[in-house]
Amino acid sequence: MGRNDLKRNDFEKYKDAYTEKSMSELDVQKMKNRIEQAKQEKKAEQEKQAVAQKTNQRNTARKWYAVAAAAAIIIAVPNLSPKAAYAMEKIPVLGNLFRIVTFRDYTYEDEKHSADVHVPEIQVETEQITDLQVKENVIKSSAQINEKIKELAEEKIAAFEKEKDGEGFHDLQITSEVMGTTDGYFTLKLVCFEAMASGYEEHHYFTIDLETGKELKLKDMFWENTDYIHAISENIKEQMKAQMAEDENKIYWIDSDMPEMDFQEITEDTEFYINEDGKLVISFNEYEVAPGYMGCVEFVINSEAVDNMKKPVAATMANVMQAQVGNKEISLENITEYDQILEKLPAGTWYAQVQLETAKHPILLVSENVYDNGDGTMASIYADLFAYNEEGKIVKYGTLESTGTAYPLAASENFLFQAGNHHVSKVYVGEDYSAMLTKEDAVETFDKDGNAYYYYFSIDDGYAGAVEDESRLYGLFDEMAAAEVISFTEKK
Amino acid sequence: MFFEKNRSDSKEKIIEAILCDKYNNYYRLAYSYTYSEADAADIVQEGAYKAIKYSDSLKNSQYAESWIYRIMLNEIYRFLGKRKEIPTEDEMMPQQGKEDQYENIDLKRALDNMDYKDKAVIELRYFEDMTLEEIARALEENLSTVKSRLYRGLRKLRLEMEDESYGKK
Repeated sequence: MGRNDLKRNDFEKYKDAYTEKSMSELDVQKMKNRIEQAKQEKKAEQEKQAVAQKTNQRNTARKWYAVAAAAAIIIAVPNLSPKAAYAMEKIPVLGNLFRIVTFRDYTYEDEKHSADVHVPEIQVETEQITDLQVKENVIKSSAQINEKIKELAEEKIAAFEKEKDGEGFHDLQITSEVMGTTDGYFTLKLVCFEAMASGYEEHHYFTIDLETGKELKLKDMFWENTDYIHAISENIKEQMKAQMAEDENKIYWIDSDMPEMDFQEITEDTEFYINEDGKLVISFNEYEVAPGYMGCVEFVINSEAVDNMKKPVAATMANVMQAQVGNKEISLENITEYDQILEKLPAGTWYAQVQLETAKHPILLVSENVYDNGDGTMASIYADLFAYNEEGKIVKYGTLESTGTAYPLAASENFLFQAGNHHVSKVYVGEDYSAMLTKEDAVETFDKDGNAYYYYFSIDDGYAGAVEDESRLYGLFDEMAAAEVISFTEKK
Repeated sequence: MFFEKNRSDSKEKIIEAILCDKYNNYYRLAYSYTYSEADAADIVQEGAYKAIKYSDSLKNSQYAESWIYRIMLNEIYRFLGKRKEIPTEDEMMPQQGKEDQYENIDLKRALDNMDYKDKAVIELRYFEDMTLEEIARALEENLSTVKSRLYRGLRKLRLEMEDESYGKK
């Protein structure tokens, strides 16, 4: 017998030994129990999600109606020229402004092929927009977005049609939804799912900035010369590592043994949207930064990462009917007193009331995390802000956030302060406006080569742009230091 | 979310049916790495749990079998990651009533010392009779990578199987 035959023989013997192994009855039963356990857990989760989804839909619908009732004052990103008056401009509300209709339905079903495609189209009621430039921009940007959506969908439908008579399996689904986002933006999400040999899902986000009427690009949100690409990418990498350390079932392409495949940086065209808390969310499609089983992944970008790069939002409108406080959603219907809000929150929540000179009512701040500021004052760097709007209703305006415990939230006679190492923001809620307004905002930022740039925003001056040096920034730091650290009380 | 509920249910059914039909295949694959009945059973049980729990992430029920293998292989991988050394059968406590130890020491040693994926390709190909395409899906690698693994594995085992020829005359 040749040497090879001997090895073949051994191989067969090995195979026999291998094939003989089998699970005990007890272990098979245990497996079946685990299967049942998984089914139960899945059902419980699905039920939870169904309730959450219903609530979400109800909230979004309610938000539009509620916003329709109030006078909508929206100043999103200060892109206007200095001479443009920052006087509040009344813009028609979301509910009346945009409508999504189905441009095309495409369905098909046979043994191996199925398609379920609903191509959306944005329609705009523009007569109500008083600013002609904005009106023109809205018409243009919604048309551009519609074009992009149609192109995408037609491409996939055409590919599907070609494959239809073939042997392979093909499944195509396209659907869309309007995203909940902060006022000042309108976002449409398009979901494309395709399955052939394996499945592939992609998410596309189209956002219109309601202040300018233009489509919002990632770079529009940042000052020039800021390396936001790098900052955002680094933050994402940190989050990936943290997630993998916590959950061994998660894998992202980072520090892998194939560095060419690793995630390096986002680009200006990476998908993104602004969520309901006004935070930037980066979205990746399947296989973009992780293996397919991870699906589409998203990262909410931490404020610290881009604190001194983001342009300030001049005014944040109130989210009238629902408020997110920490992990809880509380309804603001029938709430006329701050105490009623506090009642709904768990013990261990902290709160403070701040009375600004120019305001008729005090402002309520609610925080879940406080720390001793050294003198026994319990301070916070993150708080939700509630106040009375011009109709006398209590609304949540947004959140105050500092990016370091060196900058506890503070209040002077007329303003609230939030800050980070290279950034100070001075805000207030006046009784005249149903918005939380930025009075001044200054940053010091550095480009890739370490050159410093300074930017400044002032509502009174109608200015938003570069300034020569750090004097504005330091002026605001001084103001903040002179202000009083807000002291929080524990809700028992 | 974007799957109809009944499609989701049918996937779960398909997966459960396959699990109950083929658990021994996963078990013996796992055992060839763990040499421990308890650990191998653990792997199959955990894998079954995940396959059902995450059934929605199976995109195409046509490939459910390879998809489940992928999950099982990940469980094996996790097990291997936790151990410092691959155990030899002698180290393991004697299994109840197991006289049919893997006999050939050299062969076993060669298989144990291989990259775990190379070993998986050999076993799935010759013991589970999977096609290279199915193996590629299970390992989430492309076909050419799987082929290299196969030939590398065979070279290591110094075997020439009938239907593989890799340029040797």
